[in-house]
Amino acid sequence: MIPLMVCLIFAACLLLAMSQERHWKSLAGAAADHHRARVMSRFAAAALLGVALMAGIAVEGAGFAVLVWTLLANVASVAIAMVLAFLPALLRPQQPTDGTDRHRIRSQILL
Amino acid sequence: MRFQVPEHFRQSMGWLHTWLGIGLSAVLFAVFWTGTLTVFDREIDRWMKPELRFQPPEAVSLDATALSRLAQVDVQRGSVVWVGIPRERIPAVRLIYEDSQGESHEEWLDPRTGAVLALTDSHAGSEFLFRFHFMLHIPGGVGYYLVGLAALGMLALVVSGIFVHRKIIQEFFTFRPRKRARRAFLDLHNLMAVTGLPFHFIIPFSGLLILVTTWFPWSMGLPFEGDVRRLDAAMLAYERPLITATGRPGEPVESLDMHVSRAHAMWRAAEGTGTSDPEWVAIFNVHDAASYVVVERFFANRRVALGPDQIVFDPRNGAVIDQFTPPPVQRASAWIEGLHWIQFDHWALRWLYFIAGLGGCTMIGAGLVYWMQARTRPPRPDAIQVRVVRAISIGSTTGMLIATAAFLVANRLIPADAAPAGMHRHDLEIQVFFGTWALAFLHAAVRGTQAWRDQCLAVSGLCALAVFLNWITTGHHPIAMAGSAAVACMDIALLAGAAVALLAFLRLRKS
Repeated sequence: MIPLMVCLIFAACLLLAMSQERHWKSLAGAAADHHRARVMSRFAAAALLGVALMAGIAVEGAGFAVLVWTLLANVASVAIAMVLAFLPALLRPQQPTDGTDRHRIRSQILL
Repeated sequence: MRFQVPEHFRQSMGWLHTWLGIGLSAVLFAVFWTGTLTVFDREIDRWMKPELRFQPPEAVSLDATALSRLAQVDVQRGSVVWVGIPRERIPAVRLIYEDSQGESHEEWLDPRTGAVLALTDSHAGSEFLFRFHFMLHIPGGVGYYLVGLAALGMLALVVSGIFVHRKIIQEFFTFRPRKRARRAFLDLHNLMAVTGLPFHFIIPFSGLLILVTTWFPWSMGLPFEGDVRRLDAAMLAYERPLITATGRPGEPVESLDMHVSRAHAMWRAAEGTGTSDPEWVAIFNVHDAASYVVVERFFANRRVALGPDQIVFDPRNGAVIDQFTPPPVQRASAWIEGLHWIQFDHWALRWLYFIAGLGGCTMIGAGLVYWMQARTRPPRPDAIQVRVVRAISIGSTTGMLIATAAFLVANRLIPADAAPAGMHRHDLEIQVFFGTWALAFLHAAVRGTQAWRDQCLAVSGLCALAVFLNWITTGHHPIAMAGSAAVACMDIALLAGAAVALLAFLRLRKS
């Protein structure tokens, strides 16, 4: 059940990040009309977080599920923020890359 | 209508957050860091006491181990004998008894053979790091009060931080490492603080709840007209055995295994298959005609909430004399305290606690660096308060990491029979910890900003040295996964720590 919670909570955090204008622009480009999509991703994130908590309670029991859910949300939020900061290309599937971006990112991390 | 925090209130909260944070940062980092390590206290024990690096057998017989040993030793008649039942994280049988001279003994028995294990004399994780976490190893109760003050301060810091942060929602996922250093460190501080907010609130709160009678004893002292010393004396003197010893010798208890499995079956019948295992079994009034056996679990391993659950048996006929389960009113505080003790067998949650704890340490460190960056204006010389705070910051963050790594290195280097000037071996390890920590503060005071770089290199070197010495002295290394998975994971964590510290050193050298 933990792997399912990990997937749901990471997806929810990614959607929450996408629902913010700054990250939406950085990932999807400066699309003209995206307000509706951002609101939808917020609702979807809330639903995923709810499902993750319910699934956790069903399998782990409420005592453990609340702790796992809270701490996973913490770790997932930090992880998404780090990916957005260092490797945003990972979250841009449609954009073709020629390898230079990856090289630039690697050198920035190491140096 | 959007709620706006009045500017003067935000400024007041900002002042409180800054100065309370600076004032408590050293204690907070020490408590957070040792708390984070204590999540894996039993694994640190197994690293520092190589004799415990084995898996307990599926079924451990307490009769063949603890009872056999009791038959060989001189136990005080009428005293209490405690037997700790092996678990996944504590592989040996723990035996605590009092001899006929009234001296208390603690022995660890091999669950496979019943032999007494000659453990390395170290206070390791479950004693030194664990106690440091809540009393800082300061005698006279001062450490308790410092940690309690830090926990209260942490709650105030969490609340004031919420008001100080202007864009909690807008910048929830924001980290801008390529902006100037001051901005990047503020982002890092905010990111760790906001994403870990529930953790940073519940951990100090539950810690305060665990030791609430130590920090706030006055309400409990009311029946003694507020005299806390009389309360302590009464608590210490209170003794009410379920059955009083007769003074007549009785037959030794024939079996502990039988009572343990019966207690487990009774709990399973009440709670289902996910019930927690028994933790301790005790013989009260040992070797007396009125002896009785208590099977207990306090740190339940398959639930968060603490016990105690107890079942008392008459060893002569197996009858249940008494049974205790905490009342429902105790469950809420038992869950909150249990989430701080982390004694349950839930490995995913254990790792999440560890990662969240490291996040808390990062938050404190980043906050300190931000404060200094905001007050440094090169080429002007730094103000005295900046230099003082910098020395304290470096000593209490990277210095604490150096002290911990030196503690591990000392554990592998100090010979088993070392006892200079009558000191115990475990005291020598602790002296190395505090000596290295003091040196780190001194070095930070002398070297200024350069000390960050030097100390990162020292952390990296000491972590790698600890792994190397473990390999040399025990033959266990992470590549072969020899020893136990706990030890291999600890070696890998040390190597990861060494790599991160080395990266930090390389990065600082270029800047």
